[in-house]
Amino acid sequence: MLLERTQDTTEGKAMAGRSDSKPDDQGNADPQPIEERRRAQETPAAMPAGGGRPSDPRVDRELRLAGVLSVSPDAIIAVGNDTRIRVFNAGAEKLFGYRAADIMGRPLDELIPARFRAAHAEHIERFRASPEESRLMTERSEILGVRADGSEFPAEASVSKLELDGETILTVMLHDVTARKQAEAELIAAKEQAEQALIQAEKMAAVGTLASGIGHEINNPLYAIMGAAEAIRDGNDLTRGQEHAQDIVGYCKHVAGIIKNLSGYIRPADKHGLESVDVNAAIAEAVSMARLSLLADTIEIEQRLGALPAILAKSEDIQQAFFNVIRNGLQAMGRAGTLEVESVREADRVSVRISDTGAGIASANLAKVFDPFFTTKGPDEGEGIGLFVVQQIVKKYDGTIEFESDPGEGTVCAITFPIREPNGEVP
Amino acid sequence: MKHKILVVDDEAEIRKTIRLQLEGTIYEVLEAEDGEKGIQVLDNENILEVDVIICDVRMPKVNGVEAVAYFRENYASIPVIVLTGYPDMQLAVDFMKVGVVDYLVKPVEKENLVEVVGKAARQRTIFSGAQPKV
Repeated sequence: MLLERTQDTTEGKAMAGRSDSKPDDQGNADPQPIEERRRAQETPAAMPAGGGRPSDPRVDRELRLAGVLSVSPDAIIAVGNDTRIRVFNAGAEKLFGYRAADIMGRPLDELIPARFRAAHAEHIERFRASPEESRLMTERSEILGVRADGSEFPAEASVSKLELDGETILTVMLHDVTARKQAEAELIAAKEQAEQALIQAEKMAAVGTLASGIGHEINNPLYAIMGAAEAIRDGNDLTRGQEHAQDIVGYCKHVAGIIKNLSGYIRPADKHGLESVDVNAAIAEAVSMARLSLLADTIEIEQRLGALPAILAKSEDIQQAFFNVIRNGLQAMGRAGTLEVESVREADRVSVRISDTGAGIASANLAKVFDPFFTTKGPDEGEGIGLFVVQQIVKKYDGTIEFESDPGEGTVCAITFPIREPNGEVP
Repeated sequence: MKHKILVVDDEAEIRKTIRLQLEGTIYEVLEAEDGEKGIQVLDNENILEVDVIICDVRMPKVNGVEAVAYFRENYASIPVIVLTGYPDMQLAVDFMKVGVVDYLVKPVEKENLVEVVGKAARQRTIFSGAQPKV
């Protein structure tokens, strides 16, 4: 049937223009093989090869068309110049909920939601006037149909036209895409849900790694506390007991310090107690702290600090941010190299560049430098939290931070902070 | 004569705690403040008969993974206990594969430590073919 429909589309449309065409119940109205019928059509006078009755090609075609229309699962609707319905097949009856007999001769508009009728009429007129022979209507917009009961449904529609005796016959084929749209919507919802789950999983992974790092930091003093407490429990020497108790106090303070530091990293920005911070002084402090950690005196640290207005921050935060970056630079250089720290005012920002001549950062790792607990250092050199902390501090004060690196050549870290008066205003 | 336990840990407070927990037992504690020192103790002062090694993981210079590998390769008859603040399953599996006696995560109770050290000391006695010292 598909083959016949394809081959005889033009004829089908011609028939569709006839208001008196009646769909047949059966799709196999014509028992003749295609080739035989084609010969019959080409030579009207020829007698049918196998049948005893004379064949009328017009009736023949009409019957075949009726067959196509009746078995098509799609709605097929044809209208003339007056856009009144001339053909309304079984698929259309099922889709729209009208009986063909009731809708024949009524305007096509009735199958479209009222709010789209004006636009639809325009489309129809434009298509009539265009040189196109057919068009997939959904290419331009979603089509909505309205059923006999007033309910609406999304449809995919294509339209074709045929000039017949000075009249333009438009044939519209529609099928309901409610299920597909629903499936698409479900897919989008599922995708969004999956993305949320992924973000959550990443957060949990970060928390997991963080917990493991915290665990390591805290388990050591916890063990010492346990050992001292056991010694008090099992001993009977008061003086030694007091010493153990004093040790416990010290270990507890140590744990408290770790937690205080960590909660500083994790807690959202707390802007209470901000002060005017001299960035150059913070750099100098950070450099002198970092120098203490230097094992080799073959590393040079050069400072080129320009005149800077103050920024609004907590000085210990700013100092720590610079210290972490400087320490990383020193570690990257090993036993020899030059670290440069440069500060300059750029418009309404303070800009600091810290560059080293160290190993550099592989491009694959550049995106990960701020990830907590990401480290390329050995287990004794760091927790991988340094740059994560720097990033938190920079964010807290509306700053920016960027890394540029050439593996083997060195790394440049550029940090900026906005210049702010003590009242928070931009000068 | 006491069994000698070599404690390899960079944190003085941990070395002190292990010493405290083993106080009054048949074990005597020797200290090394990192993996490198631990190796030196065994390489240079072989007059010391170390019976058991307790080794931390995260240490400067030579870390626990490297130190334990060295101990297992060169002093296979000395049982090793890993004692770390870092609860890591993969690390534990890796250590067990190279034949450590146990992988303990701090904090460890005194009784537990004494028991594990005892188990290790018995292994030392069996594998070295030596007579029990106590």
